[in-house]
Amino acid sequence: MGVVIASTATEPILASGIDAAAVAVREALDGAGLDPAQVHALINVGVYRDSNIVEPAVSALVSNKAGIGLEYFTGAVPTFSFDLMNGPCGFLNAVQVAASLLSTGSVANVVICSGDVHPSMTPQPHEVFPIAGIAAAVVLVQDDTDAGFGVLRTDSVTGPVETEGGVTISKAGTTGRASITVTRSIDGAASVALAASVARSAVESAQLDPAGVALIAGCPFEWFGAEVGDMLGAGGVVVPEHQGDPHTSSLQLAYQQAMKNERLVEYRDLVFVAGGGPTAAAITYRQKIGVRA
Amino acid sequence: MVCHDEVTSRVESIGSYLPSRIVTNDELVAGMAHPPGLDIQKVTGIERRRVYDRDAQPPEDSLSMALRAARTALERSAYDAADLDVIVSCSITRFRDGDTLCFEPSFALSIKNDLGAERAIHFDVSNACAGMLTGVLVVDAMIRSGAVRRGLVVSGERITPIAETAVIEIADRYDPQFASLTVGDAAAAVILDNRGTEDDRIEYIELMTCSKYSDLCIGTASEQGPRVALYTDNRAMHNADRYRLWTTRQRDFLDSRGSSFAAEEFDFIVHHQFSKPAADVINALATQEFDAEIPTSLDVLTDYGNTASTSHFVVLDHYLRRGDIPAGSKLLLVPAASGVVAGYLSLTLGEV
Repeated sequence: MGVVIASTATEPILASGIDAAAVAVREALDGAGLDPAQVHALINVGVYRDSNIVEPAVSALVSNKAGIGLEYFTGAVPTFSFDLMNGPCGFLNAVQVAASLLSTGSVANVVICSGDVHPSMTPQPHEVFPIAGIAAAVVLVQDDTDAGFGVLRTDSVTGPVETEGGVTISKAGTTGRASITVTRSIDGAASVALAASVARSAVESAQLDPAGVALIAGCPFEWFGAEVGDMLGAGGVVVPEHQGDPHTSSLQLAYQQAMKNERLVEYRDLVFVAGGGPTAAAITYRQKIGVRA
Repeated sequence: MVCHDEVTSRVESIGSYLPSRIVTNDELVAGMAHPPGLDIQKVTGIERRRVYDRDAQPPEDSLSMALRAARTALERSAYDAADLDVIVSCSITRFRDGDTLCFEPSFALSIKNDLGAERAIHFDVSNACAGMLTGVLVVDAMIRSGAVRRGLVVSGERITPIAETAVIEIADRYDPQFASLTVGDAAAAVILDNRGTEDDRIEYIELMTCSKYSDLCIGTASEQGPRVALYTDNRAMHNADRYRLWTTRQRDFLDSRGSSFAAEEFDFIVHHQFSKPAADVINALATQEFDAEIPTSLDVLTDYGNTASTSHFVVLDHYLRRGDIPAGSKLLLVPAASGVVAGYLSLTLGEV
């Protein structure tokens, strides 16, 4: 039994990240033939959010907009929802958590939504925001074939780490809801090496030949995917075709685009790799035969 | 949404940290231009709370408090940090370097590196005051699925800045920032492992979000000044219909297992620590809804206030250190969190 992607959807963030995520979620649910009232779990992995809201979980606000788990009464399906945050790696951490929830029978489906927006929700914020606003949603279910995700591998830098995205409240004046400072402090070459290392670990744990695997990578900087693929010796490399870095939605967008363009038909196995910061994560994915986006 | 597999998890160790500075209700509200229209102690039972050390160097913040609780849990544990397979940090108020609200990288990464948990998968979860229960649910599932053997769930909350904001900004007698006056700072940590037994295990845990009510309590920065704030529609959040979300769901769950509240034979119940009178109302309602006696209700809010995501585990640690929870006790932990999040955690505690 494996955990597979039942459907994927993306939606540009024009203003509210929550609204866009809800649209993506509804589209993904349609694609999976799942009614919003039947969602068992929803995990939001987006990091930067409308108005820097820290309470409630953004997942609750997305659920509300998407019509998921609005109320409970006897006979209704209760929805477990929360935010999981780990920079660009959040999607892959959420996949592992989803796999645990699905395999223990706790839930029958998991929706992972994502997307990052400048908290001001304006198209031209007053400070540099190096992230492209794309919301994404993926529906995961169990499958009774040998398709599905492998074992998650992660690694990270050691020692103290600095804040890379945050707002110093005492310095924000009255603009705390609309301000964020995002800096990227990690060495590009070092982050590539970290990502390639976990990708190799993931591929080896699945007993795969890298040359037969397609790498699905994020885009923290332009050459990240190509360099990781080169170090791994991957058979092919897929990155999101989008200007800028879609951050927590990168892998989902890259996968969706590649499936639509039939760039993955010759690969049975994929490896998803996230990184570019102090943490990298990778997980293999055996495609379900005959699946199209 | 729960399952009982062959492998069960248990709480192997608990730790908490409370700042030493105490602020009473009178001290908190002294100097308010518009004193609240409600008496904090009468409405909530809270008399004082712990507050972060603003003079410490480096400044005391959510991350530093979380680390202190984590180290205490590890000191009491049979495991070393290097043995941890996963670390989940659950803070709402992700303050580090003093008052920087940090969204990236995860707190869990800093905690992992500081503790030396080299092997640990790490990530943050956020689910308002149900944060640590969410972390426990996730790690419990990871243990039962075999993904990990043991993990640390930790949270540090430097949350009293919202009370500081409320003192400055409350303008009406019944202001949406009233609830902010009830919070206290704290940190808590639990270590879970895969050695659950009949007498020492997480029995089941379930959480659900009823998202229709997601806008009743919003935490973000203030628009009046360089501060963070929490705005709560108390009447809409805390009423019998909201409380019944817990009882209805748990009753349905127990029915599906052929059990009942009485048959579960809980020794103690721990509600989210937001109000003693409210807990009494909830327990009275639960008595009716479950048609059963409610066990002894544990609380610490008189002295510590509402410590947000850490509340249930601050309560557990407090009573365990006093020797008031014998090994083998069965407890029910009940959240009440923005979202609105409802649910329950049933566990039997061994020697912790």
